[in-house]
Amino acid sequence: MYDRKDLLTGMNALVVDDVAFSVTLVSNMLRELGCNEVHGANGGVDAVKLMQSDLGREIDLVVLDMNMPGIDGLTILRMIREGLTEVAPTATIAMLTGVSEERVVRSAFALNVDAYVMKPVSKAALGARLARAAAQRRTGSTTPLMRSA
Amino acid sequence: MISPTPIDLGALAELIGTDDETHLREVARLFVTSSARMLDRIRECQARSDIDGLRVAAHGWKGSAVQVCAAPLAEALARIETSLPEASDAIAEVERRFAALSAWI
Repeated sequence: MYDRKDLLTGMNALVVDDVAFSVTLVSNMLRELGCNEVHGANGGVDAVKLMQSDLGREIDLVVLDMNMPGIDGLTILRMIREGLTEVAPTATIAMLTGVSEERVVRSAFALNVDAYVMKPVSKAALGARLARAAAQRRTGSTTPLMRSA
Repeated sequence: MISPTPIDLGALAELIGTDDETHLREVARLFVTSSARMLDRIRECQARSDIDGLRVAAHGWKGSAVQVCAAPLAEALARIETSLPEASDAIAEVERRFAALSAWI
């Protein structure tokens, strides 16, 4: 069910990572998985600017790195969920990170992250995780899953 | 010891979902291009003894290195994280491995 190439069809995504290469790589994956529009932000500060602009209202999928200088992934997650940006608080949000510390993972889940995905991740696995997370959010099921790559 | 293959193209092919070598090498080149900024960031943090900045920069770059299957560079970056606050040797090793990767590309 989650291995189709149109898993994310119609979704408008925002990819946030302070490493430009990661933004490009993940953005390309999301386009190939069927996303409609994919925007990239090089770090938390850029992400917040984008999310607080009109463009933020179009975003319904956010893929966040955790450790970033200035504004980290948890802060961005909290801002979205608390309605402090133009991105809908009900957007599907996934962490894509190399951080596996239990304290951090628990914090992300406490802030209602939809998926916690460890780097590295394949396009197929990322698509499956994001599609499942989006489906769960649409149906109101809130059982986030963590994946170890 | 430095691996003879700075990037495992076979593993990268599996991750990205293509066996088009031209595309894979483009991805690898993109990684090298964007990594130059990360190396600068690490050197800047080292120069001002910014331990937290070094940790964040090394960790972030390591994540990308892992994602592009550049294991030798990722290992050296992990060594920066584990050797802090004194990471001069680890940073020198990162510079060597990044140079090897750049030459390989």
